[in-house]
Amino acid sequence: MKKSDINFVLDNIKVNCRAVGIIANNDMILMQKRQRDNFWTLPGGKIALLEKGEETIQRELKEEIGIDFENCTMYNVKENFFKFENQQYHEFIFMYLINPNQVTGLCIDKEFDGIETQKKLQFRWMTEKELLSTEIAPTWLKDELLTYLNADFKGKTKMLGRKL
Amino acid sequence: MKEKDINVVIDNVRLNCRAVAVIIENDKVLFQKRKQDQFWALPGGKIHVLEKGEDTIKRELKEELGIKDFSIERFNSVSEYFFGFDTEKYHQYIFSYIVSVDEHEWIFQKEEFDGIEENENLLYKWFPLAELKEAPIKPDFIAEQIMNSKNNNIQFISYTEENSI
Repeated sequence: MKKSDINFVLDNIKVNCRAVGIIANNDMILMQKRQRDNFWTLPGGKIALLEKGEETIQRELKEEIGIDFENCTMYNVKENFFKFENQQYHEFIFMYLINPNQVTGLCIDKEFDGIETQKKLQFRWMTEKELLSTEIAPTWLKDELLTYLNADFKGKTKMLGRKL
Repeated sequence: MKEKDINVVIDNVRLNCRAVAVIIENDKVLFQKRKQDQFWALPGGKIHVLEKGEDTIKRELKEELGIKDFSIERFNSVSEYFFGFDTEKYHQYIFSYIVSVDEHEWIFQKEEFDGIEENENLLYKWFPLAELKEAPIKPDFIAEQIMNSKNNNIQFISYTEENSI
């Protein structure tokens, strides 16, 4: 039984721990956006107590876009301090690399909706050019993704996927 | 201040975030422990809310050792660590940093010494790198992580201790 998410208030600050995944295909990165937000970000979600970040990513992406994969590797971790709707946040973001060749059920349509219809999530494969001209949050994420796209990573492979 | 520590119990699990320093000099690593503890750990402490891990290190080294001439060379590792202690289940994140301390600082004078905060009850000891694997240090993965730190890559570890069920 999944325990509660790591999401609590300390000294009026909201603290949470998040796991997000970088899935790159043909020099595009899968990004998500909630309908009510005006920014795009990496798919993922809050880590639950006693849950490994890898398990969080597997759980969240299964729930949101129906994919399965055995494992992923941690890429980076960031401390993310920000203010949103008058609330100060202290977040730890754990970023994982997911190899698209090891994923089953990945949709390769340019844009598609998340499975959980009430969550109203949109997904989009973004090129470097699109990332540059899109509103992305957190503020440092854009540079991080552009660095990734331009680096010579072994993980960057062509992907096989399904079309809806 | 303890109230600001990221150290909470949610759903019967204790969640905390620690920042620790890897200080290596003359092939020896500095460890600390409270007088009553069995195992030694890397120096550092719990991260405060709104505090960067690097600032935790700076604060703790000043508070506990009174040292001023040191620099944080780089971020070394993040570990997610699940274990049991004193009947509690822990979900802990440890952020470690490579720290170089100026050779003139007092901490290099003795093999073992006390920390400066009287009420904290802290002991310090230099452990030779070659003897880390057998040393009474926690977490279990720390010895290997310190040995690997010379590769200059950021390390990521996920470790669940056997007794944590």
